[in-house]
Amino acid sequence: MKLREVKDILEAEVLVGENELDREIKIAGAADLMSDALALLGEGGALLLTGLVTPQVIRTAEMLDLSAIVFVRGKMPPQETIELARKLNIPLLRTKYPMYEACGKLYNAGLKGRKVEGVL
Amino acid sequence: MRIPKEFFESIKVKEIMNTDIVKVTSYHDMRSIQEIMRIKRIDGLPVVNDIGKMIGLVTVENVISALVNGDLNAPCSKYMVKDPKYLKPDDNLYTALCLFRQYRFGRFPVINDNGEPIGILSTRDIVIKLLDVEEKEIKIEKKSEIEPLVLEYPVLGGDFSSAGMASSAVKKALQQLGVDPAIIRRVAIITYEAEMNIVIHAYRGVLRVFLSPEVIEIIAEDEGPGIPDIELAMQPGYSTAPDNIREMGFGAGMGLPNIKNCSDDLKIESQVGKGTKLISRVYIRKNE
Repeated sequence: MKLREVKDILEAEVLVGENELDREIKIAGAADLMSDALALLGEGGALLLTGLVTPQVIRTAEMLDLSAIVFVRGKMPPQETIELARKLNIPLLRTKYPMYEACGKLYNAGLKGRKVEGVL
Repeated sequence: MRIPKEFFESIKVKEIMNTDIVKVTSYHDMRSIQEIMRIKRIDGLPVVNDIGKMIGLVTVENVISALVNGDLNAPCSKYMVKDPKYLKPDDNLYTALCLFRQYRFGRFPVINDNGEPIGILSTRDIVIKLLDVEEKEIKIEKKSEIEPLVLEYPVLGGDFSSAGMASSAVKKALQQLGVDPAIIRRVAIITYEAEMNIVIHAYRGVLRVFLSPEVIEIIAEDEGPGIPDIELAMQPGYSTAPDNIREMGFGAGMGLPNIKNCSDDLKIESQVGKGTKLISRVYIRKNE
């Protein structure tokens, strides 16, 4: 799925990366805990949905080479976060949908998460 | 003997500057900067903001002022030279020498067009250049042949605004060296979690990455409260982090388990009341 489709499905506003909407999104994950994101999204072409808007989210995205970040529930990140994302060329989107709905919409459209292995 | 001006003009600052620099943020205390100066044998550190732009320079003179005031725990923003004079990489040595004569400073930071520091030019670097150009070139070649690459970054406890910058620098260095992206991602997760652990739990620490063709070794060493029960700390979900850390998306007790999952080898040594040393290895070519 292209990032453009993610934007359309979530009726999202693009905060950073208007020219990067052709990026391919292979998997998605949702987390407010950055350690969970680090554990979940360690492969290329990943999208992170989160309610956290601190610059740490962008640092996490940098470490994981995330393809894009979606902020849920209409949250507006502080300028610091936006600037860091711009510097590192990480697209930022913002949707009015809360986390559950945003994930549901993308999942329904065929965007899956990372395969979970092993037993609980 | 007078050296012709043209000779100086033929040498660019970027050719002779010292690129082995350590960048700090305005929150770093003077004590850790003094330590870095001693260990790295340097006398000036550029101070950068969150997006890597230079906002100041801490010099050995600043450290002395803090020392005289008995104020080594102060953040370097209090003592640093704000908006320091700087050179550009493409400036020539003649321009640089004029600046040295005009201001009588011992060194100038060198910054690129984005305002990011990329080196430091000190009078020592110039003396070395003038003494014997050829010998210097031979020395540098030899050095890169024998020594494994070592990256070293200071990490300050409680400094959330720059948390992640050390890991980010490590990642960029590995990318420049052409390391496999999957390996880089594992190393990035290890360094980032380890760096966050120092920021969250310790007073200060240092992140070192040793790179050889076979293995990347990550050592995160801190001065801090230490870990009383390492086995317990390794349990997913176990955390001693305070609530304000959780608000930033950390402190959920997944740091060490994440590090373990990404490491081929992991060793943690800790002394309560003194500090913790984490040694993680990622093999580039798995040993048979």
